[in-house]
Amino acid sequence: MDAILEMKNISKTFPGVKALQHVDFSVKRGEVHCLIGANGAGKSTLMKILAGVYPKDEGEIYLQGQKVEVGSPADSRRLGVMTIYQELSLVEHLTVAENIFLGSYANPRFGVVSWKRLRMEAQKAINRLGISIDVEKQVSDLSMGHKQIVELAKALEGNAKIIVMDEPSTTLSEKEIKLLFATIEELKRQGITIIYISHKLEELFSIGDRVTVLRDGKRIATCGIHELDQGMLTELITGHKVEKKARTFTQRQFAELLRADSISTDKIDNVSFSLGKGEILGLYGLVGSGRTELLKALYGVDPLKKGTVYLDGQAQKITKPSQAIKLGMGLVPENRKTEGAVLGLSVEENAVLPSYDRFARWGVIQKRKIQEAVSRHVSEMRVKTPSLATSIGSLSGGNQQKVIISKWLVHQSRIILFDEPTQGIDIGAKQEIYKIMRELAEQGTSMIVASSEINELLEVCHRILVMYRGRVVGEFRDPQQQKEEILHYAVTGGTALWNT
Amino acid sequence: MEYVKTEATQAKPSFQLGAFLRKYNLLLLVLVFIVIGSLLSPKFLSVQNFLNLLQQSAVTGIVAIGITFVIIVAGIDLSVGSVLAFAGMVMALLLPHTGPFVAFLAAIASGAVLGWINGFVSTRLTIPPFITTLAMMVAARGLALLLTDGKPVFNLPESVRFFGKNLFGIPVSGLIWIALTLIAIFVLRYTTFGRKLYAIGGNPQSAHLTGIEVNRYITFTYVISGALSALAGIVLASWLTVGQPTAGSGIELDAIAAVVLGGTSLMGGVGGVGGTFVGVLLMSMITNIFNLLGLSSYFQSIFMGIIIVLALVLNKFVIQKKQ
Repeated sequence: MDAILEMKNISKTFPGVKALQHVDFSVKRGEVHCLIGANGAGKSTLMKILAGVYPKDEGEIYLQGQKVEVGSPADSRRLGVMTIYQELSLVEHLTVAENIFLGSYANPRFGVVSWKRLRMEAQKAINRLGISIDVEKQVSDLSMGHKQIVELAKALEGNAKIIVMDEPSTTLSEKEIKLLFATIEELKRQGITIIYISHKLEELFSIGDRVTVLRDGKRIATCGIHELDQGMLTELITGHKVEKKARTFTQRQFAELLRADSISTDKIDNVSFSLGKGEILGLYGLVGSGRTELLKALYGVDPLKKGTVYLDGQAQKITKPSQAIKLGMGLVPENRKTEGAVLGLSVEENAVLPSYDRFARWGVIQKRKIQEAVSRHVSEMRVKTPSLATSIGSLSGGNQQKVIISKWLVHQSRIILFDEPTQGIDIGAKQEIYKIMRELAEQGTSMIVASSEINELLEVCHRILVMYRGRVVGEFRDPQQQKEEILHYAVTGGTALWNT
Repeated sequence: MEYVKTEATQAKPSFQLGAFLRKYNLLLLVLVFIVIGSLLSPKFLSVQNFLNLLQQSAVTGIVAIGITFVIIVAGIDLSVGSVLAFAGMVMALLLPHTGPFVAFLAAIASGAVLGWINGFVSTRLTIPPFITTLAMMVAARGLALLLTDGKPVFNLPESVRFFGKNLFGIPVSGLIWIALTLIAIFVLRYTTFGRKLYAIGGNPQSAHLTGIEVNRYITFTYVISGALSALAGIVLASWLTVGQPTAGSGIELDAIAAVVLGGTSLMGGVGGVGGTFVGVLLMSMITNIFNLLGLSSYFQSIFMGIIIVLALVLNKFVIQKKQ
């Protein structure tokens, strides 16, 4: 196999940051090449240079041996390089067929769209991927997985030779990821080259041929994926060994703080459990198993149809988040940008948002007190920010997440609910967040952590509940020793559910 | 403070032209027009002309304060002109029977109630505020016309003409406008209510999950807008000494234009009343200059449109330059 793409000696500097330093990046025709690195390692910058979004400061790009200049995204597309970003570029209210041929409309005659031909061509494009999707469906009605596949079909129609996928799996369920991988295999068979960016190491091993690791703007290694194991790869990414301390909680007993007694909503069914003071309780399950929905039920977002939540032994009626917060709960939601942070506001304002009333007299805020409290908690959390007045939107994902957590510390919440606490956060920052969670537990804060990453839960949780189709199907009190069982329960729902 | 500071802090805050322009571009524009105005007409820079300006701007200015609150939470209020007229009529009709105090309160309360309906319908029934307040604009106008079968109420008693008069040589309406502006700036900047409005406008979902009663706050901004429109209606009626059911038509567009000119984003979460104040003043000044020049109001309209777009383009250009 010869190199279809070679980027040589690429450098890029942003004000104050050397984003890329003399990076060589070479991709073979028809391979799935994984690009990996911690946040800020430079992988997005490198791919944006390839996509023509950023100009490079230095270096050359060769496509099929020819030196090319990529001055704009249009250039890049013309050269056959298509990038699929995390936030997809589909028009939600149009049909699949229209999206695939957006712009060209399958070459209408005299400007009149032939819907019949559009449909047929679109169906062909989808079939080429070995998947069946109704091309007349509105894109907004598709699952995330199918949307990704429509993006791929669209890229192929644009005559893509190289497809760059930026963390495609973040928003997909396991089943959809399998579908995506099958599609990628199919593309590979057809000679398409894929550059695959991801944080999730296990994915790279199941889909990648080769991997390039970037760290701090430099290329650290390029090698065949099977020459590595997860530990080696992690070491390459972080630059130091991530220590895995074998922590065995000796089945600690926690005084009960919260108890849910057979609660049901539209999405969860008859769930009972209890949470101790200072305990970290994990919720594991596949996408759609009801993890997020259980948090939402506790937090008063989804109304309870049945059952009772007890706090300190008292029955509570929680119908909206403000009540949950008053009772000492706090939510760190799944989606940082759309639910967690107010991006336009400063670090300080985000951190104090739920607690304004405590720092006000007659409704007038007391700036000094706010600054004291926020700066104390923000420093405890080791948030990296130029100042408290910096807008939260300009921080990295990990730091944004820390600010969101610190808003519940400022509020002195007793129970913090985490939904995918480290999604899209690099490995170093992940470890820091785990450490913070453990420290908080030591100080007596209780936590419920919903996650789709089993290793994350094994890392921090004292106890794990497994959910399956809206119900709790298993409880595991020594999770580190029970990983296989936990996975088994999550996939099958335990024992008696085979025929559903 | 001990949190981990990144390197950017070490850069000394230096005078940056871009940042300066971005923050004060509107004031610079005002300055430009003051210079132009004074070159064109010697009367422009007189105290009397400035006081006239204040009086002419006050009604739109008061309305624009309320709209700024609504726009900060990413809403819009098109009904202000009709609410203004309705409240003016309520006051004019009540005056002979109840005396000024009750008439004022009733008028402001009626504006607040119409505002509350706007808020309730758009938040609880989740009708887009553009539609809700458009409907209110039509309906409240009808209500105002219905009260007297479309006839104006002339010769309001002496007791209400206070708003049309001067205090220490300054128009009372202008003083009210300035006072309300200062209060609104304080509320938006230094109260929990104000800060929460910015959070709601910036990201309502996040604000909701952080325990802010988003719907209640949004509704309250419409109540503010309704009440201030009503107050503007009182000021206008007492200035003109007549209750007009057709008063204030088209004022919503002037007011919204001034808000946007003042740097408040229609997307919500950004802006403030200080900018709105200057925006209103700027628009009045342009009218004023055209009047002094004796040019027709048709030219004024064209020019005003151009200025609005130009100011926003300039703003965008300066922001992009900064990044």
